[in-house]
Amino acid sequence: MAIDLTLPLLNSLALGSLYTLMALGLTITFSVTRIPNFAHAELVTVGGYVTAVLVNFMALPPHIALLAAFTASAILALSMDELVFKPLYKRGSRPLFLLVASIGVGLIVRYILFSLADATGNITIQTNVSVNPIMRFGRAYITTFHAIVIPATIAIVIALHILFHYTLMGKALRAISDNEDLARVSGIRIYRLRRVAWLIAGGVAGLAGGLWSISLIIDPNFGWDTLLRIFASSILGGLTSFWGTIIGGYIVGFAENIGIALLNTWFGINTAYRPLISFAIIVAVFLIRPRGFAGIDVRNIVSRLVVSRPRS
Amino acid sequence: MSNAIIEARGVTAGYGKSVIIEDNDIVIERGKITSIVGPNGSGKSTLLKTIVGLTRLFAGHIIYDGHEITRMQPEERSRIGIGYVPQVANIFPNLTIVENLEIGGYMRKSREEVKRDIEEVMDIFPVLRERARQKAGTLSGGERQMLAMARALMAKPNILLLDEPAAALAPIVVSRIFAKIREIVSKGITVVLVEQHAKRALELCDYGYVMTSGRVVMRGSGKEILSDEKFVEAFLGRR
Ligand SMILES: Nc1ncnc2c1ncn2[C@@H]1O[C@H](COP(=O)(O)OP(=O)(O)O)[C@@H](O)[C@H]1O
Ligand SMILES: [Mg+2]
Repeated sequence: MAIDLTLPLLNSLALGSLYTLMALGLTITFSVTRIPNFAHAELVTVGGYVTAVLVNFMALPPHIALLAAFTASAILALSMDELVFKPLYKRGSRPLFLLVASIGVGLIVRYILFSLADATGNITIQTNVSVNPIMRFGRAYITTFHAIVIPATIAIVIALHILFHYTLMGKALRAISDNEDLARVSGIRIYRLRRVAWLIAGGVAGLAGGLWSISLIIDPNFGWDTLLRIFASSILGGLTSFWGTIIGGYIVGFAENIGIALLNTWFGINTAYRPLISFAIIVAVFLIRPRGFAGIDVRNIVSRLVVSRPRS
Repeated sequence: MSNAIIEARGVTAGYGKSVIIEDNDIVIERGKITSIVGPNGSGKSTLLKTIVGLTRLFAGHIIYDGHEITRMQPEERSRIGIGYVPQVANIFPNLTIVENLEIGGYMRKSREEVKRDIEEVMDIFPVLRERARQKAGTLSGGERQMLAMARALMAKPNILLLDEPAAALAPIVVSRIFAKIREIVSKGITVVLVEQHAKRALELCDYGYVMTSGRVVMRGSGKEILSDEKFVEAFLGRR
């Protein structure tokens, strides 16, 4: 029996792109601040809601709404750092405390979203943008959704690559990621520069959430529900690798869609087990290849989370 | 005493809750080479880190060029002319060699001048030119040390703190590095040299400090220290 994989293939590409966008921000803030930011999930959710509300209720054109989603999540990310993470970091908090703090921050944002969504009767919402077929591909259709998400991802990857490799600010961010103390004694004002990292990470996460809300009915939990995939993508790249994260995002996208389709056909595994694939990926990376694809030891990073950092 | 570029008074510092160096007074003379020697673990690196602001200061004052910098962040200290080459982790391994040098010149206004200086650095160290676009993590120990010093010099510092720049290197590389240090001083940059190899550091320096267990226990010109019986016995061994 031949399996038709055209639809899972298209879904893999679209979702892989979204996972890539979401995971890039996680990788960027982890690289620059060493915080595994669990509140990254809520940056995605806020982007989704901002887009949906602006398009559905204020009749704004989608690209304006997406720009607003980028801005809102960027500002939220920056505020998280300025109000919570940075003060803790300056006081010499262990990475483990910062991780727990990020879970708390995410929880607060999530429940504020729940209250707002509940009060206005929008616990579930989807952005009202018609998705039209553009051309046939096997038994499936390439739609306007694919035609937006995939090129947008490519454009952002290129823009970030240029930032990190061709501007002094981007090189300074990579320097902080590589060796924070050496960056400081080179005159890099790390607490100013990390704002750039948070703005980018939040903005791109918000944009991804906004894009996704076009094809998905979202609720205040939707970012949180995706966090495992976001971490899986980033961990596949070793948590600090730019290209590793991109490859990781698409691996998760393909594993979840094509992988589950094959498992379903061959072994009768219910597609409801889809989320377990990310979990399996994380476990597998930790067991088999803790360095991810990029030569960075994830296990070592995780073990360092519980070790004290010298106070300065 | 206006010729001091750095004065550290009653400096007690460490990491987290632990005190590593206690109640130290150090004066660094402008334009000279000052060596700090002492056995492994005596707190030499911690003292240098304290001058650049990378440790926790429990007590004392640090004066640079007549200004109190005791509470200043490391990035601001480097911006007023304090250069530093750490003992370990003294390059950016995932940045290319050129990028390491660019970051060295990060705070300089003219990018044109930075470019010109990078060219000059690569004339002096041809191996860095050959591998300009490679990641710095691929360099050998001696090459790394050259890059680390070049990175710090890109900032055009007034004073350069060098933490064991010649440790674990082949003799030929060591002599190149020491030649480089003399050249740096001849350009008017003050040098502080931390060394475990006491003899070669004290022969090179104008003034020296000996540390043990977190305290300065001896000070004087290099010659004075090298001719001190107790010092010779404790650090150089009888021959
Ligand atoms: N980051 C750190 N955190 C805690 N203790 C440290 C740290 N770095 C060094 N130490 C301790 O401080 C003491 C002095 O170390 P150091 O200043 O490196 O000595 P030296 O450079 O003279 O060999 C040692 O006992 C070392 O274990
Ligand atoms: Mg040392």
